Amino acid sequence: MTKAERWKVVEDLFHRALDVPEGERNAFLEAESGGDAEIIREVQSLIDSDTAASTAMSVAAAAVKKALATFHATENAATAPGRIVGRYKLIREIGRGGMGSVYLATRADDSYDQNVAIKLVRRGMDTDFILARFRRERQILASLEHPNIARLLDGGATDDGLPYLVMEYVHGVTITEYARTNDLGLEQRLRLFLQVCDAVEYAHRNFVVHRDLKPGNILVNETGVPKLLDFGISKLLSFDGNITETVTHDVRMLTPDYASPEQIRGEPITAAADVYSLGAVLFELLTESKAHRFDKTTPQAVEHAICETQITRPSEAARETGRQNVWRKLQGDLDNIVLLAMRKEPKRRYASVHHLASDIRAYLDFKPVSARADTVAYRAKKFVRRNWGPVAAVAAIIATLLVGVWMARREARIARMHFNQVRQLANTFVTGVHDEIRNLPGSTRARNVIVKTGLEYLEALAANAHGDLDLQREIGAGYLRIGDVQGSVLEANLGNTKAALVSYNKALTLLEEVAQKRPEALDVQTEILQIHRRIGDIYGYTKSMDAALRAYAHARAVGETLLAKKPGDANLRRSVADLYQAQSRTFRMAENPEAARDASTRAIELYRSVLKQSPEDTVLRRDMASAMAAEGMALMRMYKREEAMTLFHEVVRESEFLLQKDPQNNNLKRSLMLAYSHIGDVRSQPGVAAPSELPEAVDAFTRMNAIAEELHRADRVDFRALSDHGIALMRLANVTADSSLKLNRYTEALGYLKQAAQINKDLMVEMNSAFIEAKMGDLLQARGAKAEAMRHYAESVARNERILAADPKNSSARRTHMEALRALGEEAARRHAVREAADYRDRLAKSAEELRSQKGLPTQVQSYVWRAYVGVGSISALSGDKDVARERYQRAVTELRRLEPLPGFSSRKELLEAETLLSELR
Amino acid sequence: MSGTAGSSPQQEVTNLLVEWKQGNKAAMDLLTPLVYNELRRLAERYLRNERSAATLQPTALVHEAYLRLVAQNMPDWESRAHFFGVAAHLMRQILVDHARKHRSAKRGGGVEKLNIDEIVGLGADKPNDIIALDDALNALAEIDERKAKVIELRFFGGLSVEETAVSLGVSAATIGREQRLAEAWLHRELSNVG
Repeated sequence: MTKAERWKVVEDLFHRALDVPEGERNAFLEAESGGDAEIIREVQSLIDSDTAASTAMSVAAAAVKKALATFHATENAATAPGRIVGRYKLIREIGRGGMGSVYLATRADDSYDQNVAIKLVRRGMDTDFILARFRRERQILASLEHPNIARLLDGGATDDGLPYLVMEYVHGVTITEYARTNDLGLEQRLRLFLQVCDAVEYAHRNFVVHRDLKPGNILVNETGVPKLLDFGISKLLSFDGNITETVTHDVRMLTPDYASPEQIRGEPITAAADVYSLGAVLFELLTESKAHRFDKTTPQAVEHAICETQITRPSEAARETGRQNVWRKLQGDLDNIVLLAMRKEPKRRYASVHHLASDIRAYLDFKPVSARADTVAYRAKKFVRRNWGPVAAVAAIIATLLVGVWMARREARIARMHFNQVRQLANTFVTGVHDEIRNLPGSTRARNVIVKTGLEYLEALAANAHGDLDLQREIGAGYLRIGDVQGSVLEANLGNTKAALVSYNKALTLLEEVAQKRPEALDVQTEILQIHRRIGDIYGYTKSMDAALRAYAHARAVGETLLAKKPGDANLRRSVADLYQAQSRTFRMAENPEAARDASTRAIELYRSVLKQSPEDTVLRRDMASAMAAEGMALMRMYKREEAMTLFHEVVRESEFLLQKDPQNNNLKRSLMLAYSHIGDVRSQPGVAAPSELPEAVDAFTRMNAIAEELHRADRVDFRALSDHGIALMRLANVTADSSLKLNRYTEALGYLKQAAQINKDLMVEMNSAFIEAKMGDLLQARGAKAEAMRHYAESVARNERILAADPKNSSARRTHMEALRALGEEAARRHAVREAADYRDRLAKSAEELRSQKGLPTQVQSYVWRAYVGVGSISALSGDKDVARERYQRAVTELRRLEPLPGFSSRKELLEAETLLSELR
Repeated sequence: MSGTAGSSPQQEVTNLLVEWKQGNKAAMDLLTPLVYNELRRLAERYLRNERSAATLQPTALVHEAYLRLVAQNMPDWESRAHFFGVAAHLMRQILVDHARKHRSAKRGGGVEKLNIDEIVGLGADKPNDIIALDDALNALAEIDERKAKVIELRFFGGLSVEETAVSLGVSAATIGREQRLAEAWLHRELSNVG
């Protein structure tokens, strides 16, 4: 009898014996067990214990009960009044949250009498992710220093390792209570509220969203100063994708009275959530009643009230609560302000807290507010939001234009006309533009007015300019400036860059005519060079590589001619060298590494010649180092890897040398970082790097990441620092062998990139994010976390589709796009989700055809097309469509065999896969 | 991790359970603080009524936690049973870990002013020790896993006999019998240890 079988017998006998009268049990057991003494003893002992158990409390219950008591007592002892935490003594608990409590405390050494608030993580809550969150709160608070935000004073860990934060203790009451008990008037309430807006706006500028704004977190102290508290669930903007974000805060902490619809629905949170909550607080402050009335407190009822029900106008609410003297004042502007802040859709609210505060200030100053109930305002808002930019830039443009106009005064007739034009411009500026700017900070409308006025002015002048070369030159320069306004100051979008190109071309026509008639005027040539250069930049930006290269070629011709005439002009040399650098970059992006290498060689030559004259010029040395780096990148793409390495090592030495002289220079640090990045790239170059090179790649990327991290620490909200750090970590992850570590690094990298994307929409960031999503998909799939893997693949596909819409020739986006589609399609086919699989397969096929239709693809990129064919085949095979699968595999095999093997590149792997799949099908 | 930031806490817990079911151990780590908080409230409430309460009834709290955290999103019995199972196991783990730390702190000469047994009014008999119970339960699980689970659900999770039955997919009568034998077994083991 096995152990398990014996136990079955014991169990059976135990229950049956209990039904037998006590006196007969021995005989019963003897008979039933067949005289097995061991079993009899076992059953007997259990029956004895059972008898004992029935008389007293169950042992298990008693043990649990006692453990609970111990638990409770020690928990309380840990936070009992009088306990010493660091240099502080706890006085009493004043608040309690999901992961810890807040205590009123004082300095333990009585050195001075200062009350502080201590936030202490509770025992048992000290899991890694809570500690990480606590650290983040500390980090966030440390970065915020504002008179209306409770300050972080200190922090540390208790003797038993629980972290705590020491914060300014705000002795006061909630903002609403303060207003009520002090019977504040409407204006006083608004001014109090403006201080709160100021604090929130400040936090947003530091990329922190509070997420839990409510009267309970806005205390007004004894001197009447409001203070913002509790950034416990605040987060860095755009730092999503992290599951630990919201789970840790207690459900009870969700404050439905002030929570925005997107928070209730569990949608992504942006600064707009704080705008909404501020609106809800303002509602209550003005009306002394809450914005929502919940008939029931079930989650469904709450969600319905917040997300569906129209909010009562504040004036109505005030009237209902009998605040007769107030409700009339709320009608109109204040109603509109509150309702605009509390719009259900985040995008339709005030664009920022700043806008909300501006409107309140406008109201207080009896000026028109921007909040309107009608849709015209809504459209205008959207327009402004899309094109937000600094006022200062606009003012500078106006100034530039005006100066240009004044300088153009030459002869009397023109001068008279100028005078009128200038006056007209000045009038427009004062009456139109200035007011626009005052009401709508950084609005595009204002800038459009300026550009429009400027163009009208230039066109009017151009009509009178025939034969007047000076004036023509002046107008040309004007168009150049307008082009700069259209093309570079405005957020670049297609409309603006097109307009800028029109202006640049007008400038070019005018200036070329001048140059033709005055060949000796070399400064006109220099301007022409600049215009070609800028046209090239704009085309490069909009990914029209051919057009960009044409423009650069023009610029180059002008530049070389000029250099021949003015060989001693160092500035000209440098600007022509810069031009070659831009050209090299564009050639590289157009996948023409040979031409890129030639351009860089010339750039280096020019820089070097200037460097001979001024060897101490560190900016020049840095420019030269980047030219060498560019040449190295081109060489790497030509598979001249060791030549490239020589250059990269030289760049490292040069950057290190320059850094020694100027250790705080972040640009130099970045150059060094990029050099390591290139070294790592060479040592991990796909298809050619030998496995033995990998440690060198790991080393280079580790160094790269260390510098990126340092730069990121120095400026946590700088776009470039964030994206650099994300990209460095991604590269490090690419060469990381350990899959958990790899996944963590990708996750962290993605976090930084998302933060960066929040600041600035950027194609590179988007590309790298898409790549990481796909890689995470691979990793998670390998681990069997299919659902999660598919989510990442889908995210990757979505991102790449956006990239490809803007840049159809982006081969790396194309490749990742197709790989992720294949993974999604195969998984859908395995799940027998027939339609879904077919959809992915068709999209994959379409993407491949798009790539195939492009001309002049490098061999490696051509192989992506056939890889995609293998993918289409594999999805088809899994869907049971063997004929299509066979056809696709066959085609892929044929085409891959036909591809010319490049130095360092072969499609062997792809071919092998296609052949294997094909043979499996047979 | 999955991109669920910003979801409502209810949704989060549900997601966590789903993930845990799918074998994500990290999800367990995330669930712990939630359960820990419940446990704390439970201890407080329970101890307040300790003298009147005849039996241990943590059930109410787990139910409450369940209703608040999960029910709206996953009302099916399977998730409910699953949630109780997870909660019970976590409670056991937390209490045992806590007792272990507490005991080692005592041995390590940490300040210990409170005499727990006096406060609670229980005898200081050793068999009531939670660590011994935990060890015994582990030993029982080796012989008969389901009986150990019954004890865990009943005493740590505070489930009723009926709920335990549904949770384990057997009849209530079976649970009654299994519990009786399990308790007898535990009692015998713990008395021997004494």
